[in-house]
Amino acid sequence: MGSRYLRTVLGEALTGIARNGLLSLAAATTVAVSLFVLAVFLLVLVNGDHLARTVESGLEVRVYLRDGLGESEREELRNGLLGLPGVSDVVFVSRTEALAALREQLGEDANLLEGIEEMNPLRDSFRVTTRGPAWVDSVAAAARSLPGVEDVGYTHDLAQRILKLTTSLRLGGLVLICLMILATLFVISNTVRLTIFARSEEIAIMKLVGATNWFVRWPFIFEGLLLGLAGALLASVAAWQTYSWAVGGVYANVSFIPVLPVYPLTLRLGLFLLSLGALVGALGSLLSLRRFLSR
Amino acid sequence: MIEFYDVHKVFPNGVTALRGVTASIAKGEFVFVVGPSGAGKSTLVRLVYRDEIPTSGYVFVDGINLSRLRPAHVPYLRRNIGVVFQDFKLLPRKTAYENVAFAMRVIGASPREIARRVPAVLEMVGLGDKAEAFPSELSGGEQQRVSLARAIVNHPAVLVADEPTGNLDPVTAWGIVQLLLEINRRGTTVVMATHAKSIVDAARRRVIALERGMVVRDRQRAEYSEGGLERAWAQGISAPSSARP
Repeated sequence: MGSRYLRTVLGEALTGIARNGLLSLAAATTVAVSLFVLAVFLLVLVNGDHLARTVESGLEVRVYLRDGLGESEREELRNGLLGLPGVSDVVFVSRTEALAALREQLGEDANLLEGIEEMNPLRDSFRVTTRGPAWVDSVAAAARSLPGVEDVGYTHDLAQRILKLTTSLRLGGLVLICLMILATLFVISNTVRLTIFARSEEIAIMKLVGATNWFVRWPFIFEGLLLGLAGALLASVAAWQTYSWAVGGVYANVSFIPVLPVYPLTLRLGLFLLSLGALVGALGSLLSLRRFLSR
Repeated sequence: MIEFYDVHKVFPNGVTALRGVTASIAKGEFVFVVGPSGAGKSTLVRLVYRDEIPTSGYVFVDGINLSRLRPAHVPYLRRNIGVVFQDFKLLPRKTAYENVAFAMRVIGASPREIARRVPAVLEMVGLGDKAEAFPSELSGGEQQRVSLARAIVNHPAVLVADEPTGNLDPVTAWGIVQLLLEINRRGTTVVMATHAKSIVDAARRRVIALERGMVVRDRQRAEYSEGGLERAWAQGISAPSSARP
């Protein structure tokens, strides 16, 4: 591409956008809206995944120790637990700590503990964290047969239910995001196609005066690219603002729900939207031009 | 310059436009292609700039067989052929100057060449003072002059005009034809499809008469029709309706 040719192509693309002002604006807006919807979807799903991860990592197996276990036996058991497949962390919780935690949990009802505090009925225990809810069952079963273990406590149903929920959430999210991306691609390429259809006569005239196919294509490809970028920029800014506002709302009102911080998430999302917009805009132009350039 | 050898054209919808046309047009000639509507005039001229390809037979332009011309080479053929239409086909969002300059930019002319050549061509077609006007601000005759300027700006060897005066009143039409004759005098081969009898009769040039896709007459310095043939055409046009059950 010579520099004069490049100037001609860019000039054609810019005057094309400028002189088709309203249609270009409509196209960029359509791209912006569809990308924004996609962005909101992505943000919700990424946070859903984050939530699922947080809940999953909270699942633990409690291994209660037999009374009167010596220091060395306890250390041996701890190493045994750490050696089990799927175990990521083992933390010792003494019976005193357990009681304190219980009192904390009861809060205002702590007076229920009065009288039993002296004798403390609780046991020493290990809090075993697994690498995911799928490991909970096998870790619990293996821990039961280790020497020095009195009992193993874990909520089997809860683990299974959470596992099922997060798995289907992720699968559904993935399917949904694929559909959304397809729909967005369709909307954007159709919008670009519309701007090209509106100028089919222009293309016919270009061909008539002896323009090569690539000479016809480049300005339209640049135009599609610029439209896609403009729409994506709008969508990115809107998504960033919306997400900042939403995260602020969550922190202020329901702070126990874990949300991902605004940065770098929205920056990455913006980059994704910009490249998607540019790519689909250019590609949409290229594909829509095929029927005009067949002859 | 342009040769047709036994050209047949059948469109995908089954309509037969040309049935064995053979004709040869020399460099520098001015040729009218005449005939009633549906005789195949338009199809014949569109073969020249390869808007259509013959179903059978051959079309040669400047020694090149257009049926064998690779699609990638078509743009280069068209740079040597100017085309003018009944409906002008100007870009509505470009000024007269830009419309003409566009044809030069497409072939990669330098800005200097464009700035020098476009005003000269607009001057030649009599639109020196309308360069900055958009097509919607011009009369039909002026628009056709712009499209003529665009057609000749790259010095094509051949100019094809498909009913160029179809949308114009007789006086304006004659002005356009005189321009075409002037362009021809400067050495460009001109092929003009028309059914404007008065223009053909006044210009006295070679006439190729088509009827139902066949050449029925090909004569130098001729008029639109000859006595007997005019009646024959009239019958030809009415025959299908009388043949209907």
